[in-house]
Amino acid sequence: MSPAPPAPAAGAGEEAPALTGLSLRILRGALVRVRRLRDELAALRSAYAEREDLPGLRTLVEGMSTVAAEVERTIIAEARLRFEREQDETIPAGEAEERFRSEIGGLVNVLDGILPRLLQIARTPHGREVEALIHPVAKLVATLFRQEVRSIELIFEPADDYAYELSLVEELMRAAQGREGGLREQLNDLPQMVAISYPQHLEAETLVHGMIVHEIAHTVVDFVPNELPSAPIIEAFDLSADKHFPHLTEEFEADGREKEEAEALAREAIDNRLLKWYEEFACDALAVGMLGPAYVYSLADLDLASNRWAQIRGDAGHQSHPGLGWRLRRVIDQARRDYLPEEREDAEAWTALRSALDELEQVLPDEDDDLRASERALLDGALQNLNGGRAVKEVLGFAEYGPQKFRLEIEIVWEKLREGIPPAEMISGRTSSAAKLEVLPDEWSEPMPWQSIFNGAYAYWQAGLGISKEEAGAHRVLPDHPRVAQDWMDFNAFVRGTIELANLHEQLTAARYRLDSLNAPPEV
Amino acid sequence: MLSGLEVANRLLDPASGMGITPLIDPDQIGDAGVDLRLGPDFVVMRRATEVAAFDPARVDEIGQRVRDYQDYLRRPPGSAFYLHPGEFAIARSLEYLTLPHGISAQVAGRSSWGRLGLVIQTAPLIQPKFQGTVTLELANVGTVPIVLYVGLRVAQVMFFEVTRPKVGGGECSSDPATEEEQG
Repeated sequence: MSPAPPAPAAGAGEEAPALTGLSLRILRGALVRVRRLRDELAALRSAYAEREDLPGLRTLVEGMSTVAAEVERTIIAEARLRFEREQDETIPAGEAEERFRSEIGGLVNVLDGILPRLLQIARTPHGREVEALIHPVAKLVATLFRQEVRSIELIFEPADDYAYELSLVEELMRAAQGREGGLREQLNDLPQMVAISYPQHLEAETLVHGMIVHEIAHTVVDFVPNELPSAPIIEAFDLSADKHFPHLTEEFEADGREKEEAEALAREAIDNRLLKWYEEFACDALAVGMLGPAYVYSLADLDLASNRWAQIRGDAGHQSHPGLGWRLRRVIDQARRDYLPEEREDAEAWTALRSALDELEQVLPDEDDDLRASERALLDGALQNLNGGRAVKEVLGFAEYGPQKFRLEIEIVWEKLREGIPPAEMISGRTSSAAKLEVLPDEWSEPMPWQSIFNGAYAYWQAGLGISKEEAGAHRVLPDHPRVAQDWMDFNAFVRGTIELANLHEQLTAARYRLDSLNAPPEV
Repeated sequence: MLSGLEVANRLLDPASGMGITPLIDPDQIGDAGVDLRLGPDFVVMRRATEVAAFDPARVDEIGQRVRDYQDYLRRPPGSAFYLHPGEFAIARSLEYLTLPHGISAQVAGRSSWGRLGLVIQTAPLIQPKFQGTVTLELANVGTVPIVLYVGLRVAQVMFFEVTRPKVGGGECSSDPATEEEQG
């Protein structure tokens, strides 16, 4: 992708007319603000000019530059109008100034309201360690959204925690409210930008970034649900909510509330907590469907140490997220049911993952939530609707990580890891029983999907094998061994590099014929 | 020396412990070696504007000196990298090599590039049990800029059986996209 073109220079270079008094001060203040912003955006554009890995950020800077240029052009146009009115004796002086103040104030307020957050994102490019995931996750998102919306560009934002933000273009559009159609059209032409935040302090822990698929799932559930096939997810909740609403109301009435108040409380409980919890469960289910059993371990590795097993009222996040114990039990069930349904003695990676799921399940403490009986019944019903139907499969479509693919590929990943070979590709004829080749095949290999790399790698790590050889076995018996953290980071680096190699395989295979013509300069 | 076909057969055999990955195109395997592609990572030298030198006698500061005069950059697949006359850059192969006990390798440039003034490799020997990408020391010793593209085949590697390998040694590497060989 070529560097983003400079924003239109509307207003740039135009002289503001010579106003006086308060109008002059307002004009000066507004222009300083917008020009300083444009300077910063120009600097960011230069800084990112060669960062091909930042398509989303470059688009964001381009969009902001477009808005800033339009605001500057409008300010100058308003100032010119104000100047002309000042010369027109038929217009009362106060009226012209009032209009000018209102227009400029409106523009400055728009800038002040929307740009700080966008600037914060634009100023913070992602680090090198998450780069490997951008290509596969962007592809996943494109598949998930089925191209029904305009093209999507991802922004990975270093932050405190995993989160998502869908409305970056909409934020910019707010600036276009009441402006001429041209600006709106320019902004409409921009790709949809989705910001995915990740915890900066965990940047190099690639395997934990499996949590990104949970955030991607949120974007599907939240993003214009009526236009996307996410409707079954919401329907599954609505059905149960309709069914259990009367019972929930009765429970509040039993507490001595009037019917009207009880209904309001029931509605509040549904909207403010149960729906949010349900969405978290649903996004976990979608995440397992996109990533396979590896998601269980990403979730566990992220949150196990935080002791958020259950949700007692008043605990941080109790309104928005169910307890970790409940969430883990559900994803373990789903992973076992959909991906690891039976024992297979001949499959090492498979066996390692199943054993690790069992082991994790056995150590989970019981939940201690303060849900009312009918609240729990409502959630159980919604989750049953979600599991019973084909909602998850329907929503995921081709973005589903198929169990058959998982079954075949994790063993290849495992086997290569054991040999010290990055499992970045699947070689067509690679088998121990292969007869010796007499001629080379036309096609050699395909890139390994990142989900298979994640799952095979987690199997290997869970089996205690992804550690330095001389310390083998030490982690299990001695978790405070000095190498435990370094081995985890080394293993993550290996996984990250493997995903990068798989990405390069895919991208260079696409460019193979173009490159082949360049492979050697003409003979001299 | 292993023939190309022998290399291919070892790559197909999971028990051989040998890997060259990713191999985008089987045409990279020649009769007596395998072509290596230019990877996406480069270290370029900054021009020194003060009196400075890489002096191995000053062990305590040479690492810092090297960092002071090198910049890392990454280019996307297929993109151009200009190497001007007299310039030096460190790159690495796209492919990650895993060598088993008993196999060593040697890296060389390709003659068609050499005739344009491109020197590829100055530390060509790779020891058995090596795991990593191959460092390519790119130097344009000609008089005209050379344009390289990420993914081009710029080097070749030949494999040899070591008749009496030393027993033991070897350490698992970390990031396969950044690990480089120790020549």
